[in-house]
Amino acid sequence: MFYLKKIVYVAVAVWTVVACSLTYGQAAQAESIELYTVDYPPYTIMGQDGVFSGIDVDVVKAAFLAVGINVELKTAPWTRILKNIEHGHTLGTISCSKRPERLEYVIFSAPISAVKDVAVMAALADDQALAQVSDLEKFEVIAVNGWGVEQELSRLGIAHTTTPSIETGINAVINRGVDVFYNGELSTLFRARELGLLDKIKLKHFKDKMSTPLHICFSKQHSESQRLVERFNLGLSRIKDQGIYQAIYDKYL
Amino acid sequence: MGFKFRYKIAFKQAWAVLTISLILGLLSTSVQIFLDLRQETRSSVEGINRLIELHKEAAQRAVYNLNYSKADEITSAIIAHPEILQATLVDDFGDALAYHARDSSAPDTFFATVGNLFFPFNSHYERTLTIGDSHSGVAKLIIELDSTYIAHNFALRAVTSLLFGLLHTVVLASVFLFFFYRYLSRPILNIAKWVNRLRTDEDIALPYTGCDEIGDLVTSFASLWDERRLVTDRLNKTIQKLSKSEHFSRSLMENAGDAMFLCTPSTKIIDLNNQAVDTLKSDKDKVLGTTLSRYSQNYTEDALIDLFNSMDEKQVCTFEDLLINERNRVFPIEARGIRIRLDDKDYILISARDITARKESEKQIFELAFFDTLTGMANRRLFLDRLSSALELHNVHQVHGAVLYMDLDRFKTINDSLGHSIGDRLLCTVAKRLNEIVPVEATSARFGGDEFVILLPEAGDSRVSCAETAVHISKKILEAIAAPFEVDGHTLYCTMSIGIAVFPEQGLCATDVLRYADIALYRVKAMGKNGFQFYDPEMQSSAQERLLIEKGLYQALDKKEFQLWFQPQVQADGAIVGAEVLLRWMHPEKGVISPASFIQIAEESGQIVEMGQWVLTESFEQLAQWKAQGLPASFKRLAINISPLQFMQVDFVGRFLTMLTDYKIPGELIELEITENMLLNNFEIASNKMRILKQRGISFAIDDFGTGYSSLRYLRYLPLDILKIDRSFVTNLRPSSEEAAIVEVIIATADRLGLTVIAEGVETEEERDTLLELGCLCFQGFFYARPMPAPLFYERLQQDMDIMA
Repeated sequence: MFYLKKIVYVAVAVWTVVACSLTYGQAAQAESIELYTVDYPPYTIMGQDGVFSGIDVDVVKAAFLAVGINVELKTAPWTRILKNIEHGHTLGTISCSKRPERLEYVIFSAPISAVKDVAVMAALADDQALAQVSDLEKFEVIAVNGWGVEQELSRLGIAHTTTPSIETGINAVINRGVDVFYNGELSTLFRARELGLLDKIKLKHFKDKMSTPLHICFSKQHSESQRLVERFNLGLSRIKDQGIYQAIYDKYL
Repeated sequence: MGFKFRYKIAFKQAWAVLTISLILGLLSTSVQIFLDLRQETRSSVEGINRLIELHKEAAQRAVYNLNYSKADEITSAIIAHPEILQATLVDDFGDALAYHARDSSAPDTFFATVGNLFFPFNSHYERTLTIGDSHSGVAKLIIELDSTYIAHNFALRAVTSLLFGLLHTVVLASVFLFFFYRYLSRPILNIAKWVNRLRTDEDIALPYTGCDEIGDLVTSFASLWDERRLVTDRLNKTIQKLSKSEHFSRSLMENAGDAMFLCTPSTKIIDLNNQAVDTLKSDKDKVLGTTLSRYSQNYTEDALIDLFNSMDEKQVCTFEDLLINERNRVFPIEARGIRIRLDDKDYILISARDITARKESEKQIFELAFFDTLTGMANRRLFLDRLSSALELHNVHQVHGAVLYMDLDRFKTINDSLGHSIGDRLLCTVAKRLNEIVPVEATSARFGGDEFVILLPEAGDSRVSCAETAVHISKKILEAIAAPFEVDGHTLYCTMSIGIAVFPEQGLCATDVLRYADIALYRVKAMGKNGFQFYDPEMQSSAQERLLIEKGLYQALDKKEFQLWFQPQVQADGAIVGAEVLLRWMHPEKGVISPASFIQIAEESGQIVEMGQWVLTESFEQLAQWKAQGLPASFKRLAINISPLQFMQVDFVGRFLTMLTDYKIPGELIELEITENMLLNNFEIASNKMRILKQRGISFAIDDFGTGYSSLRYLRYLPLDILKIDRSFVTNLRPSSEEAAIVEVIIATADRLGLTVIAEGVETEEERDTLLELGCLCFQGFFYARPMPAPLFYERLQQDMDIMA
């Protein structure tokens, strides 16, 4: 099983490289688009050298590449990215969930990945009383400032504090006595593993909390958005069919 | 001396200080407020800019991240500033990211209103924020200032500043008021009181003794006051004296015996005393304002002004005048004038006194002193005075005079027999006749009794002519006295004896001359009275000689006592070219008398005319005879002397030409010799007559040339032919002598004018040779021949003819 995985990884990597090299000539000649993203591991990871990676990044790149479009990634504050999209200044961003207020100015692609918000707690913390999201009212909750989870808490009227990043959120749970760090499951795990704190936390799923799919959000104000959505969706279905999609997931999880 | 407070110097100075301080304070505060206003504006802007700079980066980050909470913090922090009313952070999409506002912290007070009025400023600030990687460009931080707050604060400060300035000014003025009053006003008040008391009190202590300007002023004033008081005391005393003196003078003037006039230098009368009014017989008001010259007979207004101008303040000027009063009475005055100065103006004070009585007395005294009361002639004193004056004058001018001292013969007999009254009247008649005879310039005097003296001050240029004049007058006197006198029915026959003295004579005084004349008078008395005698015997004989000649001349023509003699005129070779006719008086007693002895007498007596006519007739007759007998060819003319009196006779030319015709003598044979004297006063007439005669061939010779005026004018303008060099140049003539030079000039002049020169009086060979050497070719004189009677001259002519033949 282990070897099989290894072989798959190698195959995906080889395919990616080959695909990239095969399509290079086409890409160089084909169109190139620019998308914005933020550091949201493991979906989008911004490296030290400014190179983006992550599940959603790789999927989006692979899907567009499958239809001959080269993707270039840039970063900006999340709220700015959304406002730019709203005003049509930015083509789109990776990755964002579908929310009612975004429907007015966003064209959502087919889901790239899914996020499921969980309660991140210290490994030894008592989570018996926590079953539904509304239970968070009983706990001291913290969420990353400005993120969807934080907005959700606000929307739900659940008292909470904010934290600037996932690291500080994890640290708040482990070291500062905060009960719950309300955050996405995968991103939290990815970050905790990187920090070596995986064994000091535990995740508690809510019964009433379903996964939230993540899309590429294209600006309705942008003239190419509709076409690119269609092209992406096509490319996405191709890589899913080719098993590349799964291989990418496997690579990060 | 109490002043109202507001009139005191201290108050005035404090008020001035207050006013000036207020004005200056207001000005300086206004400037300060103005500067403060600018500073406040600048500070506000700078403060806002600093605040914006402080939050700029955070705001940019908040905008970039679209971080509402952060943006909210920033705007919240900004409006915490009291001067800021609103703060808005607008993102680069134009949306307000954060907005905070609050109500104005300042009430809407009067200060705020005033502040807003004078402190308009921009309360709206926008700062652009650059947002990286932005599509829309820029964001903004908008700040609205609280203008009311700022204006209120500013106005409050300004008013506070003003109030403090005002307070400062008032305090300063108060301090000045205190010090001015303490150190200036109060001392001055004390000084003023002290000065007022000085008028009544003496020896008051000085009101201020400080060693400063006021102290110096008080000390100086005190010393000056003391000096002036002393002067004033003296002045008052002087005024009192002067007042008394003026009153005294006024009384003196009003009651003075003399008429006193106070006049301006222009002779205008501005004051006069009672005596002056009385003298002018007029009213004072009428006289005032008129000029003194109006009443003067001797002085015109200009003359009187000149006289006044010559007067000074030191020397009294005395003068006499004739005044005429309002009743037209003219009377003499003696006036004394002096210049006086009143009120810086010059006046002339005239003190006049009527001297009519004195003048009359003086006249009487003068007449008594200098005139004979009986005859009105000069008395001895006046005569001697005039004689002394004449002597002094004559000694200088070399003029001669004579004194005729005379008395009536037998007057004592008349006086004794007929009485003094008859005698006196006879004397008056004699005096009258004498006065009628004597010349105007003569002085006739009566010394007393029957002694009369006549002074002839200018009787002649020489003693001889003077003696002749004296004789002439003496004879007139003798003739006049010889006429009978009718006195009170008595026919009286008188004769007079006259003694004559001629002066001046060396060392003689007036009394000497009188004495000499008196001596001469006694000599007449001794010689039988009724005649005259000179004191000098020689002069007496001379006079007698003259009388004899004059008397003889009257008979000489009738008795045929005159003869014509002829003196040859020869040329260089000795040939006779002519002859000069010379008159000789063959006196039966005295023998031959030369013309020099009687011609002048003949001229003076007028006998020369008759004599001249006789000479002409005789000469023509003789020449006609010689002409008939034959004359040598060398004989050119006969020279006849013509006296001026004869030549100037109206009918001379006509008679002369008739004679020429009658005797059939060509005019060329006649030469008339005239003298310069004839031409002196009758140049035009003589010249005309000469030209008429010249037309008949008559030659003219000017005689004695060089002794008179020798005017070249005669030589040039008269028809002259011959020029005769006077014997005075010829006698002893030698080469290189002064005479030779004169003769040479005469000869050269004659030569240039075409005149023939004849030298007179040639007596020696040397003279003849010198004359020849000088160019003279014709001669007359003893060297050749003496004057000779006609027969002898003709013989000489015949000898010449024989020689030439």
